Amino acid sequence: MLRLRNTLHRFVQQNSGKKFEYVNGKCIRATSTSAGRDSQSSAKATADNSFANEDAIDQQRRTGTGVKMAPDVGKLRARLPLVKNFFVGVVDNEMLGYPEVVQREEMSRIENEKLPLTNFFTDQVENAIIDRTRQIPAEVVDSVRQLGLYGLNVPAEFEGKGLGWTASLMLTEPESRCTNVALGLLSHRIIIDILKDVGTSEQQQLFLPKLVNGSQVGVEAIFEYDMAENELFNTTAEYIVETNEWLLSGKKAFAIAGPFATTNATPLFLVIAQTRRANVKGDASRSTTIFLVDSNTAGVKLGEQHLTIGCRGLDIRRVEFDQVRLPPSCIVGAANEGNEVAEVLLRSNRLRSAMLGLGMAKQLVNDLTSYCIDNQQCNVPLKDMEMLQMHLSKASCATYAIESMIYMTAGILDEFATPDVALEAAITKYYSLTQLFKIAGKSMDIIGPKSLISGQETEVLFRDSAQLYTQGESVDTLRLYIALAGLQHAGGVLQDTVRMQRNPLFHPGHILGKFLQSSNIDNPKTKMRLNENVHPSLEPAAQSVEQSVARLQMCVELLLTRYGAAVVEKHHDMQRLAEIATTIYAMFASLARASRSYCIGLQLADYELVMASAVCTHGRKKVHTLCTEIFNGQYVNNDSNLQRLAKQVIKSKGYFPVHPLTFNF
Amino acid sequence: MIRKLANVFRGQLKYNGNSFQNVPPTWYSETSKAFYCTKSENESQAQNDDSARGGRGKSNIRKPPLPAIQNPFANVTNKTKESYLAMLEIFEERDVHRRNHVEFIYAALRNMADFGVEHDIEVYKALINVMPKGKFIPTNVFQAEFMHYPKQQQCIIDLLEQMEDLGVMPDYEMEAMLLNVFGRRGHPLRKYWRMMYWMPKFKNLSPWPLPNPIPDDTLNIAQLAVERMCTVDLRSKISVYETKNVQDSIDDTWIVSGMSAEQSQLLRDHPRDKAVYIEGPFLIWLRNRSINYFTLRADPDPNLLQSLQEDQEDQDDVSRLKAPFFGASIPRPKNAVGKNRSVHQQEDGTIFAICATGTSTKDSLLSWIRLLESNGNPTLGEIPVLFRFKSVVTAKAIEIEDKAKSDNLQSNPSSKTTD
Repeated sequence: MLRLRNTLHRFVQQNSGKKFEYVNGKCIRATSTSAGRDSQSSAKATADNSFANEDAIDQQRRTGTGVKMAPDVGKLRARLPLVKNFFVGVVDNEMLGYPEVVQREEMSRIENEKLPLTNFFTDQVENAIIDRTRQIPAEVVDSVRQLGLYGLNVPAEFEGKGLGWTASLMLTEPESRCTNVALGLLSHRIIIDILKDVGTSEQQQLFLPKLVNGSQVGVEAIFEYDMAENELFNTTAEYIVETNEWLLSGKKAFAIAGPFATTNATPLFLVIAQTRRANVKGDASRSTTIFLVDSNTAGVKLGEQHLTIGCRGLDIRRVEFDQVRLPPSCIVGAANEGNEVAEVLLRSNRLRSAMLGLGMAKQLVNDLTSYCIDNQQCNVPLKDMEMLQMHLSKASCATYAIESMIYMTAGILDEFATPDVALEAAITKYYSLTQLFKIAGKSMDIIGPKSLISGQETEVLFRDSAQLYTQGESVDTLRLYIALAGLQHAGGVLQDTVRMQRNPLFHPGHILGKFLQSSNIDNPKTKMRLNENVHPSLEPAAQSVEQSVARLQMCVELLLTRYGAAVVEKHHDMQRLAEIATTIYAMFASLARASRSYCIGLQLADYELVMASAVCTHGRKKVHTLCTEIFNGQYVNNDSNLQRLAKQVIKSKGYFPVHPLTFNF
Repeated sequence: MIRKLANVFRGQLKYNGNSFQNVPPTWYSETSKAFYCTKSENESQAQNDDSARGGRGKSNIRKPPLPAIQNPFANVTNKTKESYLAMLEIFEERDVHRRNHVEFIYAALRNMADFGVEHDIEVYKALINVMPKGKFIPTNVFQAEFMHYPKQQQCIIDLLEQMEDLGVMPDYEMEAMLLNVFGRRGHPLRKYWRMMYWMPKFKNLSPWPLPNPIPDDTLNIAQLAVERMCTVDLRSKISVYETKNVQDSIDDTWIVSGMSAEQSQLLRDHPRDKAVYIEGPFLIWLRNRSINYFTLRADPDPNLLQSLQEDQEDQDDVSRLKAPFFGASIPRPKNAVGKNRSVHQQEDGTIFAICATGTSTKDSLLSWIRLLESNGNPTLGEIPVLFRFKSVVTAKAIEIEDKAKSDNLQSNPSSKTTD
């Protein structure tokens, strides 16, 4: 195994020490019935409590200097980040127990509450009609208010439903049948999440009651139409000492203003602005600050509407802020510490957008399946054709992985105090939306030209999924973020190893040891024993995860050694890393879920087993291919060709080859 | 052997032929110039040929040169492609034997430039067509390898050589002609095949391809030149201004100016108290045409260059990688401190813009600065602008542009003395 930093050694020891207790618990779980699970989860709680008294865990988390996180009462101590640790080859075995955060009684209560929502969205809301008429009817907006959808995640003391992440995500599932409604409510929920996490109690007192009853609806105004050339944002805010006010000016785009925020309600904008730190010179003073801006404030104006390809029922607009004067109480978190708040903001945004993708993916799979059942070609029912069967099962596997990842991430958020799930949330969104777009594309394969006739349900879903694909941020930057966040973590842990490997002549012993190790990319040696934490039928799948994590770690170490700090420029390799990490998390979550389902004998759990195995087998191959590409380097994996070509394309300002029939003489 | 001999003669010619100089300057090698002979040279060449043929002129008395054949090309008054082809026709029809056709072809080759046909593939083909068909085809392997009819073969090889030097690409018809004259194993055909391997590959090798032929208009040439120089920055914009719109302008001419958004930004950031310079004239060649251009530049910013040296951060330290939340700033380690160095910030100075004017006078350059100022660079009005010339630049236009067109150089006399 690689020579790790001392601290990592400590983590590993702690982890393995913990695992040891836990493995025993797990063994019970693996063979027990649901009754056993109960006793085991209480055992887990006691184990963790006792652990909490021990030496403090180095959380490796940067907490903002000025940002206070809301105290999480009744939650377990945070564990080490799950996916970030994949980058250094460490797997938290305990996390293979799929988090059960909603209590039994609460679960049935939620199911009961979900019923009217499901009925409402299946019977009374027609996404295709909303799309065609380009508006969400006022009755629907009213019903959304009456059904209490504005206050799902608001704490009970503000008359909300006080649901946690998992429960509130479960209750948003019905609405994702109608993408327009779901996307329209997305930023409202995110703003409530952020107020809960980092808002001061005055801000909570001020905004939450209005947000609950829907007299004020949260709208994110983060992104801008034009790229800011030298800064992060074109929108700026300036602090005026004399009046103790902030002066906000600029234009934001893609704010989902209506109809929820404009029908009998006023929008509450969440704005990120570029600010300058006082007393600091140069680029170091560049910072961001997040404001909550009531639309009734003087100077706030709704701009023109963007006509988008999907989600046409929504009123997506520009918002203009013309010298808006804001008191310091409008700042979320601390002034100039926007990045810390953005972490919370994006975590919530990403997780909840992933949920949107899940609803649509399920709907697509159902639609495609019924199409295959209902139709036949030359007396052969479509359902009997292998080609279509493959499409359907691949789409279902992807949907299964999306669902597992969402509830696993939400479970971690609910179970532990201030966990670091930035990476998990990003991965979940990335996987969910890319897979959704793929599944939506499958309808073109299966149904053919009919699937894209205007007004067809598949067509609306296709356009909506394209809209979601770009929602908030581009997929490329998301990928980059996933890789960078992982590398950042790995860089901290592996820095000494990397330094030694980049200066081999100063550290001959280390290099010699490196030569002697027998683990390689094709046959990674692992000692994670993941199979001890899952049902024995899933041993091959667990093995896949184990090997993939080991490969990822090798790749990370190799890339850091090869490029050093310049690794951040190697975007193509980072895209591969992001793809690998995403695949591994999808495998991990599916594995944990299938193991749980099979152990407690849920309906069709044996097929879940097959699904998880399929996800893991496919994932292992994908990870292996990508890792081999990274190991082979740019001259074998085609990167250098592509880079060379790109230079010429840029020089020629576009496609450069002449016509194939051109004569030269 | 004989081919070698011929080369020796040609070499002699090369160094003897110092009488010509009125050919437009080209980038072609010295040897190509040997073909552009004047009448006197023709005569000496003829003399050389004479002595080479027989070696019988053993007398030590050097007789006045007596041409073996009369050079019919020297006496033509109307030197055009038509008259040139007409001469070939006359020669072909003079008698069936076509005596002295090798000498005729050499003479014709030498005089191509005077007729302005040296880049014309048709003319070369007409010349090859002078050769009798079938007679020179070797019938056995010994003939083939020992250069059957060496003089004739060498003559056509020289013709092909001239084509190669001038970048005239042969075509398939020429292959067929050579095949008919010298056969499959003839040396000219081998030469032709080698040419057809390389020439098409070289033809499009230039990263800055030019139209062929280059336009005669000086404005077009200036545009081509500025466009090509501006390729260092893809955001460069080429604008053509008329000076007559500028207040107080004396010259009425055009200005081709190239500047990019990045350069505008650099100019905006330039300290007001530091002068910028108009430097030039510099010469740029476009194939066989040249043009003068000027740059607007400032002295290098020592602080920037210093900071670039200091920015060498520890590449081995991977403990502080940055992961941004919003995609707007994708991290680059070199970007960590300060701004990136632009391609225009060179070690010997910062270049803000380049231009070529119709007259290359101080007045036109002044108009250029005024035009830049009114077209998006208002700061130029606050910065002192100084002239820094490499050679004499007149204050205002003294000649009419038409004259400049005749020799494809600008009317500014100083331009010829530069470089």
